[in-house]
Amino acid sequence: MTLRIVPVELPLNGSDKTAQLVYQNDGLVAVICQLSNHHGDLAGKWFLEADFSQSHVTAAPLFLDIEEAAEWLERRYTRLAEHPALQSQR
Amino acid sequence: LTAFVTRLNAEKRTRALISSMLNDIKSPSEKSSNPLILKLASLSVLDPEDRAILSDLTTRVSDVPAGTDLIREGDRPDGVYLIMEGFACRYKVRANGARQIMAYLVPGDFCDLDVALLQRMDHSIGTLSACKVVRMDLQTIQDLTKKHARITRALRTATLVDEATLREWLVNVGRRSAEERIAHLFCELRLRLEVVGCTHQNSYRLPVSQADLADTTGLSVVHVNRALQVLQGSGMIHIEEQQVRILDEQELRRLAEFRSNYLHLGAEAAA
Repeated sequence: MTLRIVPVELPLNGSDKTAQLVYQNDGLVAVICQLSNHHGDLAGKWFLEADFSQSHVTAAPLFLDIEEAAEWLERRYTRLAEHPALQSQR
Repeated sequence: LTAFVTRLNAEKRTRALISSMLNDIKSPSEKSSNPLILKLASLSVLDPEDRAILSDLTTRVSDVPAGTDLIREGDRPDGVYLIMEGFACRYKVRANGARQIMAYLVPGDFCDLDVALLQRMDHSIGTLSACKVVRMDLQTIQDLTKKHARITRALRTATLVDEATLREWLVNVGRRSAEERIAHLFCELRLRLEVVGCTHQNSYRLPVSQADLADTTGLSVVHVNRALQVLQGSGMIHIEEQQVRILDEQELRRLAEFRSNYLHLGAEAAA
């Protein structure tokens, strides 16, 4: 499974406007967002802003870069495809 | 003689007046600073004997560092813990490490009067900040509730308020936006801390981290930080070094749809 990343701006998301749409094949599966300098020590990290898989994620980690986020999401979606009800949130 | 009596009476009145003025001056300092007494007196009528008993109960205070469990899920209850200073919380942790905080215990709060009826704790209680804590053993609590009806009534009322607060927190987590959740929590803490003498004008110390707030409100740390930015940016609150200052209480209450009825404050005044 390969995820495709497309940059996007989130104009209504406070200071956290820089984001990436995450596609699997042609479908949108997630949006990740880079934290602005309003977040102190966390500034620059990537946050799972929205996840469009069937189960709502409540405890995703923050990612150092886009690659790390993509790897985490790939693992998550692979698990989800194998065991739809048993995917771990972390 | 008449003139003498008149002068004597005048002197008596003056003395009585001075004495009453002195009492007025003394009374603020004589007012208890014991948070348990302040809290229970806000919920029910206590007489001086009740206050003396509560004061005696709370003499053995232990210092507990931040992040310490007082009792864990699965433990056999060994007493009732009372917070005299600092913040503690009730919480549960999932297998993946995710924590949900279900209640804050601020000065004057205790857990749980009837805990002896339970075989095992179904949740944990731990300190969020450094705390001063009193542990009352189960026998002490049983003696207290047998012998002192007014104190028992106040303690049971406090337990009902804890349950009402939990219901309000459930609405918070289930049905309010990020900003509304934080606003509601800040309105509630302002009143709860005011009762026990832990506010200064519109400010109070909130010795918890953003991660603690996230686990309290069911939000991510990122959403907590964003909500705090919005509330500060709109001039409703100001936070600096764990000190929360409420700048526009009316607007903060309006945003959170905060009604203090569930805290049942002012029962003594109404009694």
